[in-house]
Amino acid sequence: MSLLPALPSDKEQSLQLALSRMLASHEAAARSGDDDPHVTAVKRLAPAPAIFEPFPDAMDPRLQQALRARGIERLYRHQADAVAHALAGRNAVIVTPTASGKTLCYNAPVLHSILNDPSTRALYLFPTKALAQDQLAELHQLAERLGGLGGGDIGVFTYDGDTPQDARRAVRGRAHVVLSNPDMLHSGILPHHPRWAKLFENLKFVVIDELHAYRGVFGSHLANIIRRLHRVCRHYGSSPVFICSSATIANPRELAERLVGEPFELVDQNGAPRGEKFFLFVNPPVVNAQLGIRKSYLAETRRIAVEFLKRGLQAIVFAQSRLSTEILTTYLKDAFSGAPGASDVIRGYRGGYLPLRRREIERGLRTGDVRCVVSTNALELGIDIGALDVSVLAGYPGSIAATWQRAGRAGRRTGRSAAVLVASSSPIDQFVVRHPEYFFGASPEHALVNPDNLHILLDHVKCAAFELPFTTDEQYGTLNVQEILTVLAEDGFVHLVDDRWQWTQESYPADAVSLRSVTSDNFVVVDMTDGERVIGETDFTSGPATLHEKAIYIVEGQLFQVERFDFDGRKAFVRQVECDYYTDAITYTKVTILDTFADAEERPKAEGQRPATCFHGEVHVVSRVVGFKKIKFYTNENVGSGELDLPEQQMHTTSYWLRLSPELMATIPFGSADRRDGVIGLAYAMRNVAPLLLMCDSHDLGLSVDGLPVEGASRMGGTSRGGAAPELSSEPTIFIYDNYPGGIGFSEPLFGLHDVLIARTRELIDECACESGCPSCVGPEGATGPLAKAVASRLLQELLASRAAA
Amino acid sequence: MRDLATRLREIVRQQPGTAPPVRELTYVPDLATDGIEAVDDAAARLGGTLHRVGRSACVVVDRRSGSDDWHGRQRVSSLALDRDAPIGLFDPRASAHPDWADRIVFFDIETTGLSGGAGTLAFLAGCGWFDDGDFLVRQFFLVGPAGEPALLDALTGIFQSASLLVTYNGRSFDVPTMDTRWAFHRSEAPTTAVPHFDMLPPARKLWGRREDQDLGGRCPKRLGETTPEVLPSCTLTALERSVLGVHRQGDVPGLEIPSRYFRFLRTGNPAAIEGVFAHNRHDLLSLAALTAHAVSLAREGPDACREASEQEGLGRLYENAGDCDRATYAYERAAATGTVEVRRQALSRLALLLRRQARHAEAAAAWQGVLELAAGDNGALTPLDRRAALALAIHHEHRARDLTVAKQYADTLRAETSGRSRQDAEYRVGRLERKMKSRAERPLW
Repeated sequence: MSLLPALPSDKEQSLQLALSRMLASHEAAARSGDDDPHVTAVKRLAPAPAIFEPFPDAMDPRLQQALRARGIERLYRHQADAVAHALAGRNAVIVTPTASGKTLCYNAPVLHSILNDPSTRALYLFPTKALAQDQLAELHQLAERLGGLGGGDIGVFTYDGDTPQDARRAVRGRAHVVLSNPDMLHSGILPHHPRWAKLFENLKFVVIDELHAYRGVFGSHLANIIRRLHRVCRHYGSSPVFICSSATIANPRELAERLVGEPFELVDQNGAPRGEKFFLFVNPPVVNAQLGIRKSYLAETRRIAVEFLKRGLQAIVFAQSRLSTEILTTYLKDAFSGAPGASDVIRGYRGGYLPLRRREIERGLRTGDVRCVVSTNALELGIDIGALDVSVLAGYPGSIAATWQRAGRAGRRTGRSAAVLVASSSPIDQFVVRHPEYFFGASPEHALVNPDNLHILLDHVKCAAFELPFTTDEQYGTLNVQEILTVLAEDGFVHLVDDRWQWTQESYPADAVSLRSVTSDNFVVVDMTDGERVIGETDFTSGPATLHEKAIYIVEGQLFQVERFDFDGRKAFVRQVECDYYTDAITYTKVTILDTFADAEERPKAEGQRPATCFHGEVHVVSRVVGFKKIKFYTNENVGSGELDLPEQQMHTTSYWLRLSPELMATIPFGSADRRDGVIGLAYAMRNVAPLLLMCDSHDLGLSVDGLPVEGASRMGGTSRGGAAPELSSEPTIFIYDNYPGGIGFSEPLFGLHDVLIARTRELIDECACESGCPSCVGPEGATGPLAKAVASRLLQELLASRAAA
Repeated sequence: MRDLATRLREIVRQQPGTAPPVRELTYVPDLATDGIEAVDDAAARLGGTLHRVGRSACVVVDRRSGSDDWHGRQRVSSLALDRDAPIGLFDPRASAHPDWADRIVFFDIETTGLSGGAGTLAFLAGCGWFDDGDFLVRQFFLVGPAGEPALLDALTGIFQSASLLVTYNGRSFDVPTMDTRWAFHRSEAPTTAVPHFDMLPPARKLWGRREDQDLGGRCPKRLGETTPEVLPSCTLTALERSVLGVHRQGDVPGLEIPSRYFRFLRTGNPAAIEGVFAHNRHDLLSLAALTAHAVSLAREGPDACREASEQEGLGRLYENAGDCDRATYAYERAAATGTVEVRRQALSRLALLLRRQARHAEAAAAWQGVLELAAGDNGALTPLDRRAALALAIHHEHRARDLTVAKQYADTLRAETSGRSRQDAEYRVGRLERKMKSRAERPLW
């Protein structure tokens, strides 16, 4: 227990002190040639000076004056580039790190155009309401200043679910700039486009902020919403310029072009200054060499965060899940619980907290009242929380882009900052901390979207048909929309009349389509400790796993137990409890093949021998939460379990799968139980390598062997099989599927990367220092079986040999 | 790999993979409903003509109700309004222009849905007006969406020649829905230039029998004939039965209307849609009759009313229009003859009105009347009773200066209220006790 010191006057020195021990440890390990160092990498990112350009001559003098009044005398280079493209009518995507003045990249051309022609309208889209609110203040201030300089009345309004009904008409009439989100555009603006005629007739700019947030399902939805936006704009005779801003990803231009369906200019020459930053990789020490068990990364994260906090530095700690966020918040509050009120300076932050609580925490971070926040990726986006000193990442976030983004939440334009990545024992984490050159050298991930995912596409074709009847020669996206409309007509959604597909349903299709998850449902959490009060919410898919009866639900370290889970009513009733464990759900998954799109055989080594065939196609995945484990805080002991009977959830998605031939299995000189362990170990390792190759988030993929679950074989590590181990079929099949209904486009590239997948998996297993399996390769020995590593290695050898021979 | 249509059908019908599609329909659009010939054909089958604008055409159907026909208890010829009709009592904007009664157009639309939005079509727009004693209804109908420019053009013509538009819930439904259609076609809505009288609010005052006894008389925000939130007693169909004595035969229920139109679109069969035309015409005639009836009540006063609740409603209309004398009379009549609840309402209204005219003693008597008519048996006070008790406590403390009586009312309030009102009541009782004490101690000379 210790007290938090006052904010130090010299943060530089405090940071230096906090880092010095880790830096020393790194140097000592390097000198002694330690092959499992505690600090595996120290990367110094040099400070960079600003690159300026003058205001373009064409820029409205009132705007120049307003900017000067705010201390902006000239533009950073990327701002100047963005302004030039936008004013020339070219779509632009700007790649900028945090705190580089990206908002000016779009505010400047938009305000300039409004000053030139007051009929000009602009639409800004932010992935969350909170971000729109964040931007409103700044834009509003600038608009007011321009008003004072004779720029007229420039209306800037947010329009989202929180806008009161009676204010909406005023927004429609008076807003030059509408700040909204994709959900509102989808369900509140596009279906009512006639009321927005003034906006659409004069729409010159569409701004999409945080473009990188639109990947996967959300991005696929957005691409379709933009297709609908294009249709409506065509109807009103406008053709807006798109200005997008993105964090660093591998394919910002490609993503923008996929989402918007038009060519883009890339602006990636950052002209903003940066302070010096240290980026450290920490690998928790091995505590049991035989089982390959390392010290808990959460405990290690706690220790490191405390090092910084007790020197008075302000820190953000990123955790991988809502659960680990709550666990870390609890740990850190415990560490500083000595002084009265001291624990209030440590806060948790995640989706599912109610907005007021979130705003309070954000404000606390900016004022310095909150000294440490433990967050999920909820704070990864550009919400203004001020400049923090340190970012500690508990576990590899799953992608290079997200890692940089989270690390970037610490640091300012001048002065020193630090980021520390604490690896968990999962294979990806271990690969990254042991190969720092991979992380620092590689390009960040590609953001993939699949706008033609049939589930998503169908929903949006319905919405589009409601908004404007399709003509019989109209195109929409890349698939044949006429065929889609024909199918919709069979079921009475539309009817072809007067060469147009008329919407023939009473319902309002956008209401039934939620962009954030597959269903628009969510579960609310009701605390019954003292009256009834809603304390949080959870999306539909994760509801059963986190809110089942007897589950421990945690909000900022306060524990609640679920007393009743009303699945149909979408509610969970909880009561405050004091206990020393949390719960982890056990999910059962079954996969069946629906349709094969393509297959490729490993070339036979000898005549008549087929080692394996890989495929990609459509599968049906059924999952059900069947039970839960009680896990003790700090020790992670399993202290109990329970069974559950909850409805199953189904999805239809795309998958890559590898079928091992009976001939191949026969050549493996091990017993059947060992062969089974080996296949499961191989699947576990492949599933962990796949995200690195696809450069996708690990949550995006699901794993199954022979259509059966490989329980817990997730990135968190620790496979364990309760009860009797299932027997494998004679042709064991490993499925790695897209973890979204309809698929999001990972399985086809994975099918194409099959050879690399096998080669990389072999490297991972063969280079792992453990004796017979650990969480970082084929899974821990205790769970996977004693010979899993040997069999997996042998299988890989056979698979690779067949190729070498060909 | 299965073909696109198969995969799409699975998703549309929510049958993931396991079973083959039950229905193997192949969609063949009905080509007979295509193009101008189809509109021509439909016009003939519906007994109408065509209105064309460029390549767009809609069907126009005229039907007349003869001047000697009866609509419930009223003769059609008696329904027309003249310029002296006191419609301004309901809405002063309606008769603001001296020629307001020259061409009164009753207006009602039928739509493909109630949710609003760009995809909701007004496929049938009915306009009714008096023509030489007859009631003429002209209906504009979309055989397909391509006819919409023609329909909007025809309506614009009607609206431009109208001196007043009369609707039932048109302020929140019919007019905004049409405005959306004009906006969809990027043209100016002619509705803004025509005075508009929505008959729903006065109808609610006169005939909406409120469930709650609160003086506010709140009704749901969006009242319309077919909106689900509507109070059953406020719908046009309910009022024509209870007020006009009209009983519809074989009417198409409002909920069926969109699906009937979709059936017409798919089959081109007019049988599906003819009932909707009749429904729309009937609504228009009932609207005209209801408006005429309301105006006649306003003209003739409470003695012409058939029910005390009407008299009470009329009183509120007079009161709104600032006619205190007629309002007072209407409330007095209602308080004399109605059911207990109507009498209590009328008395409370009367009390408020009297107090506003500084007729305090009479107001107190009216409040007293409210309490005397109180439910009594179970003893619990309704909000209206509490209101009356409070008014009487105030009256006796400050005007009549009878502290003993005032305290009786205050005690009742203290016993019957909770929360904020309870605090107020306690405060009042305390003050009365202090006053009574100081009065008792005051020397008599």
